[in-house]
Amino acid sequence: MALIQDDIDFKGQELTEKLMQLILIVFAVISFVVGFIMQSVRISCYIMLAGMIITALVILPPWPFYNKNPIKFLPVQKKEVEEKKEKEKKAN
Amino acid sequence: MLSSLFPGKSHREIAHQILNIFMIVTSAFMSWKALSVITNSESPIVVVLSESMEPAFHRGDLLFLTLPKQEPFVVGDIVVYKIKGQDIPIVHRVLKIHKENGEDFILTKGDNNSVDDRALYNKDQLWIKKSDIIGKVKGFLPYIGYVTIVMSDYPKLKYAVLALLIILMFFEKEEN
Amino acid sequence: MYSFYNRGSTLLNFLCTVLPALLICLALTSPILLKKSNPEVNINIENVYMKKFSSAFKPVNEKEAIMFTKYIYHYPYRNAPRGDMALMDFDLDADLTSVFNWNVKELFVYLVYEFQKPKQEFNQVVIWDYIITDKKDAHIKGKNIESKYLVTALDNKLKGVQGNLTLYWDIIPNTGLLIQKSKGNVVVPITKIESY
Repeated sequence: MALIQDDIDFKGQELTEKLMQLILIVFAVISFVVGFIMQSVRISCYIMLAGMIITALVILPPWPFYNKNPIKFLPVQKKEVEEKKEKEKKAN
Repeated sequence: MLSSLFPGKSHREIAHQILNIFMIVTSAFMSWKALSVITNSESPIVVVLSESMEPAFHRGDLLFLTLPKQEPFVVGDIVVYKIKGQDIPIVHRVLKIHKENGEDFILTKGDNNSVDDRALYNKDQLWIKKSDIIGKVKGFLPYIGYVTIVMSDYPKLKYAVLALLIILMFFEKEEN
Repeated sequence: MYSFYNRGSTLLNFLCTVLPALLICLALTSPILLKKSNPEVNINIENVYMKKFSSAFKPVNEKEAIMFTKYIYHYPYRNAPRGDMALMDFDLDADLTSVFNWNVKELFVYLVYEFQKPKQEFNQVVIWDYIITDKKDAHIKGKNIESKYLVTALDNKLKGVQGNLTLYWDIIPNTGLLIQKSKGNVVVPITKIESY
């Protein structure tokens, strides 16, 4: 489906989820506190909007630091492949 | 035919899926009706359709209504009412109220209108009664209801979204 | 979280929790901030004009002409005015700047004339209203302000009516519950028309 390589390994996925929650909650708290002190809803909105954009930029694209622990697949086992080929020959 | 809609599933799994869909629809309906009972209003959440209450309410704002039985109406209340014989609910503020023999005679006016609502009432109707009122506005959320206005202005969009949701629902079940 | 689409969907989902939580916190700060408000209101009645209108009515002075215009303007579909109507001139000094906080979108200020009659136990009429959207406009000062709306009664008789004039304001929040408060009370009897 994807035209561009956009997957990341499992450790990276965990990292994106944690980062998303952290950045959004921190920005939400800052936006509420600053808005309350300055008594301006407009400032709150701008801070929260900035937080949403920053979160999107950090977690959506597949940055290379998400791919530090690539998945180790087992090597292809030659015996199984040969046995399958023989079974197919017998069936035909 | 039914099994072709749900590829590769047994009869029990199909029944489970259909039951799930019914549960979602009926619980949504139940919550709406429960809210109606709690607030004593036939339509406890409405979307503002006109600009007659600007700058207080804009098109697309969501309003929460209640109609407490014992609480009297006073001027300045923002009420949502329907004129007898007309379908569209109107959100305006009470301008005058006279009580005679326990019956309320209410005149309303929109904040952004220069004349009061007698121009909207039926011919020879000078006042509205408590029975015409659906509810008093108690709280509101800004702009959330704009989706419903877009849906009613462009009905094709409504059908497109509905079709998309139904298709997504069929693809949602995870493989075991 | 293995694809762009998946991460985007999770992000939107989490926003649907965080943003409503913020809105609820905003709505909750309203009553706390309102307790600290301290509005000052001073109403003074300059004049009350009462006139019995009938189909043969012709305005004899400027005030009556104003009342006639107000009636026609506000009831353009109706017949000629009939019955007692009252117009009031008042001074108003209201300092509502302390009511404004970050969750106040608008203050709808209105002056209410409330009276009772033997057959009609409850009557409230808004005679004047005003919208404030900004804190710097929140101090209303005016002398000899003419009321916008005429006072009428159901049975069209206003003779001998004694009522109160009170200033109300409706706080319309950015998010949350609407609250109405009032202050200031002046007793105003309705008398015959003053000669002008």
